[in-house]
Amino acid sequence: MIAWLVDSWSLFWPSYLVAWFSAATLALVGIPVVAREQVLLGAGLVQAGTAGLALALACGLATGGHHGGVGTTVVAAIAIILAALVAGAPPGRERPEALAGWLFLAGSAGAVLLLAHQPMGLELLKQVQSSSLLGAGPFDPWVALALALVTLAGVVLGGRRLLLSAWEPGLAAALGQRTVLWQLAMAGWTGLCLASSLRLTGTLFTTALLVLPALIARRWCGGLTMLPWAAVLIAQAAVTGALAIAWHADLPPAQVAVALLAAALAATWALDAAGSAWRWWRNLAG
Amino acid sequence: MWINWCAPLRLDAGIDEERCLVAARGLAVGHGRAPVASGIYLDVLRGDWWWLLGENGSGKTTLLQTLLGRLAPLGGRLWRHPAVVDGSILGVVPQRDELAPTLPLTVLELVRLGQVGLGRPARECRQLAEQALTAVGLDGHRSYWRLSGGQRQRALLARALARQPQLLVLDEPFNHLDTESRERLLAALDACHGAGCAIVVVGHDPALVLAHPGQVLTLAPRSS
Repeated sequence: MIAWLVDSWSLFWPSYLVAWFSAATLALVGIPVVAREQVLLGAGLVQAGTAGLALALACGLATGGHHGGVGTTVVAAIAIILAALVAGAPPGRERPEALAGWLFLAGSAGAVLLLAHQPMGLELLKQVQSSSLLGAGPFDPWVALALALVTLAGVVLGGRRLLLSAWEPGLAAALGQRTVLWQLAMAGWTGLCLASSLRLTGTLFTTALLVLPALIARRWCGGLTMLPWAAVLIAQAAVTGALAIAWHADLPPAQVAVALLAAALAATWALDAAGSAWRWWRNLAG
Repeated sequence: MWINWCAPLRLDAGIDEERCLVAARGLAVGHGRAPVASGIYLDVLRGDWWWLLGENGSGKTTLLQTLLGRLAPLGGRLWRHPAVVDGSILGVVPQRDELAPTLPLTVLELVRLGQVGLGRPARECRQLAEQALTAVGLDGHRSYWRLSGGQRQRALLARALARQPQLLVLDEPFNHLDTESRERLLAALDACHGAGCAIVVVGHDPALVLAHPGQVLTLAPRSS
């Protein structure tokens, strides 16, 4: 059953660990995104990060590793945080959804334009945007582990405070919570996690793991308490399944992970619909 | 602590900082620069019951938001007890929750969410939450999203009660409630008031005063 893991471990262990740790981090960070119904904004922020990463590559800040090192992560994180701040205070009377769409489109186009005249620039960007799990270096898993552990500690120690600030900021402020501070801290941490994941796993994997595990978990959980653990479990199952399938079928693992999660969400919707139809039929018959 | 003022001040009466929780002197409230209500004098003391009444658009909710520190006063003076400012003795029941049904949520989890910043051990908080739910007659394991409007209002009250507040502020809590839900809500408020908590209720129906004796502040709509 796990022969594939044993066979490939010596070659790909950094990539496997990065995929598992990044998946756990993104699944947790994605919960406030889903709570605020900001799935499109999540995708927009990741694209803004991709543009930041492209800017760092264009400026020659890639100091090594998979799509650059610390410099690219920092620039991508700054781009995501700036985008989050703009999205938090839309100019004029613009709707947040329109701004999220704008961020997505401007980030996507900007990334291509920034690298259009760089040697190998578009090839690098293609790798980032389509996602690859198989290029992590031996130092990368420890960065991903540190981000996962800090995120987990944040959820355990300050989960309620963070969620109230994100979900019901008016009440949190009335109860003396420093909501602006909490929201800035959350935006900063989200930016760092997304930027790191972007550099290590790419745009598609980061966007998918940010929103899909939380979207699936909320359909299966009866309450908030189990939600973070369920989201992490779903993310881990998808990544492990994807790595196994990719090894056996010679497919790119990031895309398999995204396809598995997308299929699981579609199956959840279908089961929901079937359950509603069954209840309707039973009421009619009864 | 005095948190905002605009000259000229009219400080007609001193403040008993032991008993007083919120005091307003010639307060003007509103969004932007134009006040929707002004010249408001109010002393909410420990154990008081206040009705803030007025027609739609008279500035009741705006006044409440100002008393809670969510809006800056446009004029006059507003004093809030430090423990009201930091939220540690404050319970708030909003007109309707701002929550979107985007995440699964049990009634007990909703109540526990309202206990942030209390600084009490988790076991004690859970006990307080369960007591508050018993007081309003709700099962904590039910999904919040499957409750009726009246039950949701009671759940929001339980969330405020679980903080063991000394000042409980409710924004139009009786809107859209049937008689039974209204009676249950009033009974829970009575019990809280009996325990020494000051209650401030915003409403638009003057007949509400008949439900419970208390001091009344009526806001008149501003002529345009």
